[in-house]
Amino acid sequence: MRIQMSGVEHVSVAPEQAFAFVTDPNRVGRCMPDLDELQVSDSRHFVAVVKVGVGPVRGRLKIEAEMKTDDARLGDLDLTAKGSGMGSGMVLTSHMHIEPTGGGGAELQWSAETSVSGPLASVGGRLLEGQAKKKTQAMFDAIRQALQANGAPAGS
Amino acid sequence: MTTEAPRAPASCLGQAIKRKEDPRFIQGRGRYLDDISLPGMLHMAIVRSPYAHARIVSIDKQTALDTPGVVAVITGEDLEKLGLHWMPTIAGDNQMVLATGKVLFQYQEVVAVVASSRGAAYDGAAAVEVEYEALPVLSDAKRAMDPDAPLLRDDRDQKTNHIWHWESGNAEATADALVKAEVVVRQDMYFPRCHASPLETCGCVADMDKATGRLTLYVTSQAPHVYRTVIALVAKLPEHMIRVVSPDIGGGFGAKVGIYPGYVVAVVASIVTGHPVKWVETRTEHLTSTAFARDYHMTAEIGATKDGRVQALRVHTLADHGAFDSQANPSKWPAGLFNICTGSYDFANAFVDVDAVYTNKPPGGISYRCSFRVTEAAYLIERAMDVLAQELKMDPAELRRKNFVAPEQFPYTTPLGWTYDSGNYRATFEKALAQIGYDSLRREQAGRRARGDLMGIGISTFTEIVGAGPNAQFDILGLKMFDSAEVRVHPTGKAVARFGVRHQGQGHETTFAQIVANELGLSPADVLVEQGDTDTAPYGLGTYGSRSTPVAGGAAALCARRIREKAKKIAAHLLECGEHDLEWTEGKFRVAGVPERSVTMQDCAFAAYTNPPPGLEPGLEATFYYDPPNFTFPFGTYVAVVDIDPGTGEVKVRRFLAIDDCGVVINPMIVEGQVHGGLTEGFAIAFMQEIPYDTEGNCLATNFTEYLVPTAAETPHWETDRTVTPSPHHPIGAKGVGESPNVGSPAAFVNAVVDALAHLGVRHIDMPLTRDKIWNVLRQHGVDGA
Repeated sequence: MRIQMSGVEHVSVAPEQAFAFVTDPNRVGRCMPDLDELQVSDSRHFVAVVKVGVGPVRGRLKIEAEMKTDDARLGDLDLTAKGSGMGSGMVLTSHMHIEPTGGGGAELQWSAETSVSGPLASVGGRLLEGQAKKKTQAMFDAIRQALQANGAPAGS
Repeated sequence: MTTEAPRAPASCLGQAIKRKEDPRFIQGRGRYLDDISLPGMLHMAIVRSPYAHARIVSIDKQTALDTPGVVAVITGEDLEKLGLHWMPTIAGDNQMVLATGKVLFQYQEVVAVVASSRGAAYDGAAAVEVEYEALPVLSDAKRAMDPDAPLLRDDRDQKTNHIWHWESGNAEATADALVKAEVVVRQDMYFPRCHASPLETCGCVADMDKATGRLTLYVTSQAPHVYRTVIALVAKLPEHMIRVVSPDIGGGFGAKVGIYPGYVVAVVASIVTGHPVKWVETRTEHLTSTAFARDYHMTAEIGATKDGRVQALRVHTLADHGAFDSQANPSKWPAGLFNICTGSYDFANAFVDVDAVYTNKPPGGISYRCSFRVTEAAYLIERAMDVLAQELKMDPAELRRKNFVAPEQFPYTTPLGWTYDSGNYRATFEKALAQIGYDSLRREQAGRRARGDLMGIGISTFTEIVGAGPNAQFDILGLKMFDSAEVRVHPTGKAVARFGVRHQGQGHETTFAQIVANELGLSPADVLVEQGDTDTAPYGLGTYGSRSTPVAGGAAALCARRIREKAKKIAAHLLECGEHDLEWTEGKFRVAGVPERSVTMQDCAFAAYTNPPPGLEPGLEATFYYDPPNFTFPFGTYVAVVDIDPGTGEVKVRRFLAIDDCGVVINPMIVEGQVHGGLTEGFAIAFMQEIPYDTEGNCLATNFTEYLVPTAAETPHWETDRTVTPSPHHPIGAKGVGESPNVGSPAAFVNAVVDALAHLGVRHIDMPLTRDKIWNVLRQHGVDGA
């Protein structure tokens, strides 16, 4: 099952602050909904274990993520992730571009494609897209709150 | 000479005797596979692939081995060391037992975990870590031959997804007839992938006794002798050291014909651990990995005259066989008996071809309550005839009436090579139309249609081909498709009859007792029928494809007649006359012209053991292996009447009449039960069942919330009746009925629904006819239901 999503999120911090936040595995990793465990391997790699419940399929998914940035394209982030658990598999490729907005804020333009296999897709398939949208929104809400509450201090 | 035994009825055939097997079933005393528990028995669970197509990067089984209760973890690499990681299929392909290198369909078997309890086995399976690298997926059979389609079976010499091409009939003459025809209709139709999904899933208990070196395999098998031979060949075990026991089976419908990887692994696990090992599928495992049915993409073309005389039929089919070609068909018939697709109609020309391809879906291709692709064929021709009627603006009943094979044409040879044994299609058809009140229904429909109501009448006048099969042409893995009976009459006149077939609810314990009793002048109560144990039953090819009554039923009658011949010698001895002086009437040997001088079979049986004639071998038993001279060809007329709610798309089956002709009826109550069951399955296939896959090869019907089974609440009321046209070559004139209702009914339902919508311009809708599909069709044709 393939899910494609995209969106634009607005935050009231400077683009540099937003970019620093979303490229920090320690900070952005903790914004994942239903996070059980986070292990940061280095500045661009982390492993997260999250609780997943889609219809009758419930359990934990282990996600290995890799971030890629390019100094020549400041404000652009590529994130790929591979997840497994509950006899299921997940592969995500995503891109984010951060643009400044008037008033000192930033706009996070993102797109993602997720391929899901196993019971998560076959049993929970009809509910998966809605659930993915809900969880994605929850993650961006958490990012926004963290940025705005703390002015995105490093290492929070 | 005294005769104390109760007098047997003049004929046991045609009697609605209550099923002898039911008392144990309705008391919960059946002994199914999962009821078997052996001392020291271990349990097995299987780790399955989440991906439809992926390379296996690594398998980490240590955590599973550390799980409490886990005894062994078996991978494909472990089996490879034994040469058992692949196994041959019935269709002549090879299939992975546990995956090595890569997986080819979602839920494919990858690792087996053996543990002290079922729970521990599943815990262990959950702890196995398999890393995959996803590969491009092919889930659409129509893309299989595209140049950019991923190659699935790189293990084969042929680097293509095409498996085989098969054809039947005269291509040139058919093409010529279609060119010259006044009217030609062409219709694409898809018979969706569906699943027999019996109440009891598949399973086995493998018990290798290391002390004796003998393997006993208890298994849910419709063909236990074939299993024994295949296991001997695959596992290289001596066949006499294998015993296969098929206990009571909770439904099979074709799903329990093939040999599944789980069985092979369980045997290996028992050998490795030295313990009996039980493996029982979950419902999801059953739906996602056990053999599917249908999945035929068909195109039918009919050429006809303007006044509705059919002249030519051309059919092309693309068959989706999944990742391995493990379809259960006779060896020389890769598309089964699909070339029965000219049906009940007198076509002068016909040609059919089938191309089979691999996809990233589970393997299978079984005959789900039909005889080797016959449901697909019957659906195709019955649907196509309605399309032609619509094109000609002719009543579909009138079109059929014009084109039936006439009674005087039998035995009738079709342009695709079958010779139909007997039939009177018109008589059955007219009986059905009269009984349902066809003309009155058409008048009602016209009135309702004028008021905007959606009412439809669908007809299906199918012909089946069952009883595989004549040994000259039909075999499975080289094993000729005969079947067998062994009957022993004990000194007190009671008999045990054993068969090579294995019933799964068909009622053989009753009907086969009736056949034997009828031939021997016994009461059916005095004949015990045993099946399913290869140590005791004579060799047979099993129960599927409606072959039991046509083949094993024939063996039963001829075996009993062989006993009767011997009994006649004993009777002559007892009555002190010559054999030629005796006649067999009303279940007794009587001296011709002196009817009061008679002996019963019980008398003969007692004498066979206590007072045999000089020079005659004592005892009274026989074995018969029956090679049927031809198939039998049951037929029928089914009529469905439906009303469609224009607001919701819901179809209500108002009436359904099934008139079957299965030749001589052995037990009318059992026939009626068979018809009820088959119609309910046909109803489910038509309206609610499909195993769909998304573009990633994910199975989207993995349980009974997605793959629906009708309950009493949804199931329509069935009206049934019959005509009787005996088979001229079957020993008792029977033809078989178990699968006719599943074969004949889907077309009747779809024809009725399309008929209800025909005035809107609808010509065809693929099954399943779900509410949302009908609702969308209605909206596309301007019906808003307001």
